[in-house]
Amino acid sequence: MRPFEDATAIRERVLAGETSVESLIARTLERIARIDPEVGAFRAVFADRSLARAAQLDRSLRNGARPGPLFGLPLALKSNMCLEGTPADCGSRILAGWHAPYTATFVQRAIDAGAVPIGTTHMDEFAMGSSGENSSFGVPRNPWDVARTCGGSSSGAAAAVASGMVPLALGSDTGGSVRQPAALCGISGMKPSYGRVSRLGLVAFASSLDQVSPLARSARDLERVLGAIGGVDPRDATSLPGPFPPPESRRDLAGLVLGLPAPFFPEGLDPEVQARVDEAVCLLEDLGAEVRPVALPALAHALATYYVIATAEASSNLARYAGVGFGGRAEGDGTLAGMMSTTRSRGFGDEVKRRILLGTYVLSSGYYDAWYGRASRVRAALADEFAHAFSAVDLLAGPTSPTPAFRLGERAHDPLAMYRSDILTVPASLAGLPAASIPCGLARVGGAALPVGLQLLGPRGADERVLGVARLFQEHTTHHLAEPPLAGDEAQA
Amino acid sequence: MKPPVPPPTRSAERAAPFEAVLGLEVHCQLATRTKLFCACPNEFGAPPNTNVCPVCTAQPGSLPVLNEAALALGVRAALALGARVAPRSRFDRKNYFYCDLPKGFQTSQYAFPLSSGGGLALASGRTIRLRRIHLEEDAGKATHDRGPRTLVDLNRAGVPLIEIVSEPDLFSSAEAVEYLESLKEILQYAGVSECDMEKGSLRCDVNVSVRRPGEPLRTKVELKNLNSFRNAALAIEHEIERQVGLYVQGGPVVQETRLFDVATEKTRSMRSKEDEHDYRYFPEPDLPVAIVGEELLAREGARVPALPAARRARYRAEFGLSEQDARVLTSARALADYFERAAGLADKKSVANWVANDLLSLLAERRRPAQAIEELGLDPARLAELVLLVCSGALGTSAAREVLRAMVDTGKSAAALVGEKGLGQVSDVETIEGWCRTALKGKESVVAQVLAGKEKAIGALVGPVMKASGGRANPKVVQETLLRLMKDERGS
Amino acid sequence: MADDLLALVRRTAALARLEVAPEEGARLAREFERILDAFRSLAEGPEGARNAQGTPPGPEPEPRMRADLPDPFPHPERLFRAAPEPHFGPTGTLLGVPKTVGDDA
Repeated sequence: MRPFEDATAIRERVLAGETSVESLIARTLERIARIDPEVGAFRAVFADRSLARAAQLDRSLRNGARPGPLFGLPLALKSNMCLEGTPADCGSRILAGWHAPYTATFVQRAIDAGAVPIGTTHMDEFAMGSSGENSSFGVPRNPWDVARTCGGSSSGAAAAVASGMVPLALGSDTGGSVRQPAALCGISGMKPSYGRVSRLGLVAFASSLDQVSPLARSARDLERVLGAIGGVDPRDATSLPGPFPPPESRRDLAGLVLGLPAPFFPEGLDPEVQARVDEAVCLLEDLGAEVRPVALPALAHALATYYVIATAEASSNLARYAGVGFGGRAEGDGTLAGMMSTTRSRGFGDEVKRRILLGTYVLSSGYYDAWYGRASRVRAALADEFAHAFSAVDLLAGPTSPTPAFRLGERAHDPLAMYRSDILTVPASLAGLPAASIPCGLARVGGAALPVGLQLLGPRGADERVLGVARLFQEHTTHHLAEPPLAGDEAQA
Repeated sequence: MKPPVPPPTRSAERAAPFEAVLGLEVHCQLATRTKLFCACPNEFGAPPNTNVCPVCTAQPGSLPVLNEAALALGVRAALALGARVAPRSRFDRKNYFYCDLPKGFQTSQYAFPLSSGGGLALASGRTIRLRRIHLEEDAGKATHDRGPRTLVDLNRAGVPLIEIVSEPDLFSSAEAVEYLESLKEILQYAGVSECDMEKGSLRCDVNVSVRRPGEPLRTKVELKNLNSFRNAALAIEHEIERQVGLYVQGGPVVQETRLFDVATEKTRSMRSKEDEHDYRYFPEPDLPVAIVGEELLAREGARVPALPAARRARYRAEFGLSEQDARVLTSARALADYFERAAGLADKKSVANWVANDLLSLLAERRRPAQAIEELGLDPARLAELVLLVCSGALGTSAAREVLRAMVDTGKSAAALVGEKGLGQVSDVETIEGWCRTALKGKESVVAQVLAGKEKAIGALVGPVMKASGGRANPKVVQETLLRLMKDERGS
Repeated sequence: MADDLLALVRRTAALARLEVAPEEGARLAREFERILDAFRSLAEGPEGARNAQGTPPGPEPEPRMRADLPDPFPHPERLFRAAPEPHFGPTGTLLGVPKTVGDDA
């Protein structure tokens, strides 16, 4: 078994007859059973269901069916995605035991393309968090150093791919929730342009920011997944028209102008992170790119803008969890309002409560204009600045996270410190831009080696450009092939 | 901020009496096949929680998609009411918690509604101005009266509504009722809504305040739970009295929401904290801007029919009908359309009579409303044919009624049925003379009376002639013949 | 000042149907203050012309609407299998909640 092979390679071997899907899934389940106790990525594992599906796929191949782009590939789903009949508790007690009554468009497309849903992964509650520590059910550990977090909120999804338990996972990225864990865990992750992938069936956190985002071991895998699940969905009125753009091929980066925004290197940037990113940028120059500095002054306000807008939308999106139609309920003082308050207070964790309060406040009478209204206008200014920048450059680059993976508990009691983990990822979310994080080397921290992520941003809609450059980078580097020193693997070796 | 209250002085009684100022907010369910944001059927009376789906029950991960017919009907309503349709309007979230609101917010339109302006004319000639019309989704239904728990049915959640807000231009409960009836008529005519208060497709809230003439507006109170025009009138009247009473005693009127209690026929306070009204409106991120282009405007404009008030004016002026008859004929659009088609083919007044009396009777027998006129299966041209037969004297009125019934029952034409049943009116003078001579035998005293000037006595002779003819003799000819024979007799 | 903030937190919590226990209230108020302080710089931010709704600015997707054709959800019972208090009746299921006090329909 080659646990750290990328999905594209695995699929080739399946189609070449080197392994059946059933045996691939069986080996996947075995590895999960052996490695997950150390990593803690999975919330639920669909053993029977996935083996049955695998058998079905093998049969279909024997019968001459044309294999889809994700044929036979084990796929982990973040716990906020609807697959009919399976649990999707979003890391929250208030949805403990809730099973989805329908299947998300993007999940169905993945299944139709041949993927095998293996299970659900742990996450920060309702996708609110940057470390995985806001989960009510389990905190995944970073496969590179189990005393450290995976980042968040798609913590389990990143851990599952980084530890070679599955080659593919779907996460959700609202302010960096796939890119940041991808960077901290040394894998590839991509948030598509807003609207490129349908949100139907993704439990909403912040509607104008959420995007389904894949995690994988390579940029070519990200392309493969997005091509299969992306494209317009008539059931999501915010989805962009047309299919997901087809992959772009380039031999080198001649003619490509790469912008380096100054505020992307804020004070709190770890010098090892800076060094790895500098090296990556040099490589991109070697490949033919022209590098230019770019001014984006509005970036200084991006974090505040993001948290005001995201919490406002979240406070509204989470109002449905009130013990009436589904989910948990605590009777409270016997009145309707009391039942709702008690239910919500017992069902939501601290971070969720904090954000609902903040969001309610910034929308409330007398404060709306100074907060939500202002944030919306700053958001528009930021998008304008990006658009202006992209008239002079083709792509922007920088680090994904200001630091490598931090220790468990290090930021858990300091909400602001936690929020600042997202400082480099929120801008692309606010402007709806396509943004990927790919491994660009390791940072030496104490005695450990921790992954560093390079973030690439493109203009809205130019997803194929970001993926094309990422893929080219990976054709000339081996950072994405690095494997974490898992105790479970070392024991086996 | 409370408005200044006039101090109570004895001159208060001698001061000008208070006038009432009313504004109405009317919610109308649109006559679409599906809900506003999902493809669940929009129908009344289904078993509880059956017309539901992940969207209207607010399941995690669900998303709304706008129903194009709801937008179209909203546009049509705005045009029918003379409002300015906004080329771009926007959905906003209205956030509050209640058991019948599954998302914990209502998707409505706040900052940029579907239309602004417009108006409705009252019979007095005054126009009630409209402030705005916007689209929004209905909530589910919470029932409190069965047992110790409140029970929620989400069939209605997500049904498309338009909310029509008037300016505070109404001054009495009678005007309010007239406004409501007129609005209902127009929206029914335009096919926008059934406007049936009993089925909940028309609901109304009233804002009531009072003041002395010339003063600025005082505090207003919102009245809710008005489920019939009659209750609306009662509630308004009671509330006006209550407010005037309070001011006369020197007390303030508190801004609040009051419910109409059907049992006591009074309004009572609905205690709710002030914060409850902080709806934290913000733009609905799941929906793009709603766009109304030239094409949609033109298409819906063409679908606004001639409206009832205008039709009544025409019937009075051009057809010479009475207001009473005009009202009956315009009580439903289908009826008015039917009448107009038939009236184009025969004498208008006669057609009016037949439609307003006989056809409506037939519908009443079948317990069907006026708008179900098509169900009789009687083509207007065929009705016109019948009317022509009567007007030409070929068919007597009571015989014609029989024929009409048979036309509806069998689908055959008037001519065919008259032939079959031999119901043709007899106007042939020779035949009638024969019956008349028979009737005159032995009736010298009656003849004498008639010839002496007591013309009404002729009735005693007409009756037997009609009987002898099986009701088919043309009454006019009978009378003429009888008179002629009587005079001839005398002469000879 | 601190009292004002605490009162604000309590009012906001009530609006959001969240209970705030006494110890929690003080802590939340402090966190609130820190966070809002950090974000106050928003007031100095550049302002752009915002688009009509909150989605990321940029080319608007064509207005996406739906034809008025019924498409009933095939499994309505799935929507209520997790209902906390279902009332099964002869014709269908109703959702039960505490009877409210002094509220209307």
